[in-house]
Amino acid sequence: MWGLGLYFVESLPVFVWEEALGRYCYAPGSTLHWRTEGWSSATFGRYQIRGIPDIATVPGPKVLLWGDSHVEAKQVADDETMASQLTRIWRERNRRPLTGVTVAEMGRKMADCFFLLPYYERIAAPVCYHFFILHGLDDDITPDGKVFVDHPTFRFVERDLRFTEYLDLKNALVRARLEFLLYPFYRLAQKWEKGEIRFRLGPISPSLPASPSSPPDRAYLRNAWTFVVRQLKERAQAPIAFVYMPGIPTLHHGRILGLEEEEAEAVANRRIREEEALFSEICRKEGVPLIDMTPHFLRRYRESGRFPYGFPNGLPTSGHLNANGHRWVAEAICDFLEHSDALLAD
Amino acid sequence: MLFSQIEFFFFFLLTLAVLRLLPNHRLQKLYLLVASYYFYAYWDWRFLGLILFSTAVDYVVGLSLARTEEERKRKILLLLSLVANLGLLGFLKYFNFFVGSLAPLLRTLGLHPGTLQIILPVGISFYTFQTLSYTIDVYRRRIPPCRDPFDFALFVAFFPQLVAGPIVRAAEFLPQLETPRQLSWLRLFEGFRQFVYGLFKKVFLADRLALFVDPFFANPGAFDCLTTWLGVIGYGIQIYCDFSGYSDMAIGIARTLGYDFSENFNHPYLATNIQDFWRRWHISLSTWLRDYLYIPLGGNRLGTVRTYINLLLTMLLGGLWHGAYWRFIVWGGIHGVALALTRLLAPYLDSARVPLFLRSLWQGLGWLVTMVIVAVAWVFFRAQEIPPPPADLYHVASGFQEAALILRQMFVPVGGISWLHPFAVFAVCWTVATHILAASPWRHWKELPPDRWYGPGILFLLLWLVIEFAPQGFQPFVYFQF
Repeated sequence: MWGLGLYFVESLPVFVWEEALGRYCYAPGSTLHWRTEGWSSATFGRYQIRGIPDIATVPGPKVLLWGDSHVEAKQVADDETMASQLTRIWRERNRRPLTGVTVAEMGRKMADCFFLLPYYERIAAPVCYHFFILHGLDDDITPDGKVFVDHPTFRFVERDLRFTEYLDLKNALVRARLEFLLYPFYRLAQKWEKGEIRFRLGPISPSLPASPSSPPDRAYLRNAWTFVVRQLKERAQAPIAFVYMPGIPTLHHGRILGLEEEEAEAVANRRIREEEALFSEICRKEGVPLIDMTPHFLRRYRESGRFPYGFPNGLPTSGHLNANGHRWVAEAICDFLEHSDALLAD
Repeated sequence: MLFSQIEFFFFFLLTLAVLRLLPNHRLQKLYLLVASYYFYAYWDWRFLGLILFSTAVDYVVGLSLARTEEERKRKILLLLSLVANLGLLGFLKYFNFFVGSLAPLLRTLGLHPGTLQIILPVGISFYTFQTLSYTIDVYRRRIPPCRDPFDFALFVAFFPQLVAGPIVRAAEFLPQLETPRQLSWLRLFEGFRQFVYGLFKKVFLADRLALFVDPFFANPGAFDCLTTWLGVIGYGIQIYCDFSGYSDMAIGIARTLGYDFSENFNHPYLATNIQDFWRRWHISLSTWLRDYLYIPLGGNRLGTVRTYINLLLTMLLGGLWHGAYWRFIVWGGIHGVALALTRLLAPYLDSARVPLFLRSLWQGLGWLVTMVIVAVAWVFFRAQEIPPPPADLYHVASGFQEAALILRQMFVPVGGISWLHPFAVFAVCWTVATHILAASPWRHWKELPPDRWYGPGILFLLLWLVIEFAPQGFQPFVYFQF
């Protein structure tokens, strides 16, 4: 069981308190094995930075790539992440040094980025650019125009005895690669919390799906996105830019979405298309660059027949970015940086 | 309640404990009856009435058949049982199908019946066939009627095989109910062993395969030839592991409780012709169809043409038994035609006519052709019908566009996305290996001994694999829908 667990079971992270960030982070030197989608091992250095043991010791300017699980990219190897590929591609094309740095975590929202910005700018100095990588626009940017409404995952946990005892036990099991002992309990606890364990007779009333909330109107979105763009721009010392990754091309009922002649029909949802246009307009007005990966992804698919998302052991064309997707994003960022004034001073 | 649910684990432990404590065989059976009704009512208590109705009708019919020798009265009693049981099954399962399919015809007659919102009771196809086998066997004087109402009720509602088989014959089960069962540690281990094998096949193999098979069938025609074959074969393995896994669990549980049921699957993908396939696949259903449909229709006793008609009709109805959809009828029809052709060409297909040095090749060819037929039939069984049923008779053919797309990619590929899912490839290898082992001198490899360390060790490992790698989310048994 232990042997099979070593190879086939996904590892759990060991958390330690990181004073410089005021939060719990993956222990420096952690290697997390990802198996359910893709098949890789992801190493994390100090400050939970992917693939770099200690960013403070890396000389030269840095480009910080912020995002969620698509940027954290546990599904791909260290040298396949967009940050690593950015570093490599830049080195191949230019003589000036530049290091791409992954500052991402599963579930991270713009609120998290806002509060973590000053910490990472200090730790990774000098930072020449921030890129906020967005997969879709709905769940990444949701403030209502005055405050961030999403709960940032700060790990502002009360460091009480019970939590630290649990963490110590869990960390000990994980270090011995015995996390396979924990998963059954997690699943049981999950079922219990969701109320899925039942002994009473049926039928059970089906829980009605939440009535679909009407999409926020343009005024709400305009307020929300203008707020977050301005907040991030003011917060950051270095220039910022957004990178938008669409959900296309993707397989949908046997067809590849995104290849139709009319770009207006290229996505299944016309509302998404309108929101993309609105966000682009806001970035333009606020003077924040936006790299839209839509034409890049479609062009690459037409040239190579490859998709930016998906793995053999997941759903093809959907899920997280694969190595191709990471490379195409890195190339687009490199192209942008090569024409950017922010690096001319070097 | 599913066998793979944590609730069943507690239910079963409680059942074992209570049976151990109850001193009396009669009390044990009563407890099993109550537990079985609870097991069924866990899904929906309102439908207990249907099982009770079937039980009452067939119990009374059985006793009445024994009391009368007059053939006309016996036929009326049998007819009563058939109408009551098949009437219920027909209405609950097939009403909307027939109304929808015959809608154009009914409209020409000035009739406009609408479809109804009918809930299909879980397991009705299984327990209906089970009780019918009882009344028919009593009618044929093959078995005496059951005089104990509680024994008969337990025969109908016994929870291990109530909702998805195997279809247990009264001749096999009722005598076991009459004698006290010995609950020994050996039987407990043997039952647990078979249960774990079944759980492994269902949760570890079938449910994980669904993560590949479901998206494959949701995007018909999008994948290249190799992926399409993997998808179709994957579904064949999924439904085999799902259903045979459930049967193993049911048989295993029954064994721990002291009751022995016949095997329901015998490595069907070893079959070298379609007849052989049906002697290995869902054996309880195929023998039921043979004994209570094919033979009463005349079997092969009424001439060649009639034999083929009987075969085709039996398989069409066998397909319809699976569900009120045209795709199941087409699936049954494919097997019916294949059975008829096998019979027609039997003299030429006999491997004894082939030179010895070519015999293995000949059997291999027979196996390959059989597997291709089975695979093509699975495509119809699984692919969605568009528009959703019930499609009227005039639009049946157009409903199989998705199946047509998949078949085209299987035999006339036009490119597509390559997706060789590693777990699907593993499942194919596992199925090939276990089937080859079944045909080899090591065919008893699964009979792990209880007194050697590796016996319980391997079972525990399989159980751990199930718990550790079960896909998130609910995966019902495929055959629950029947």
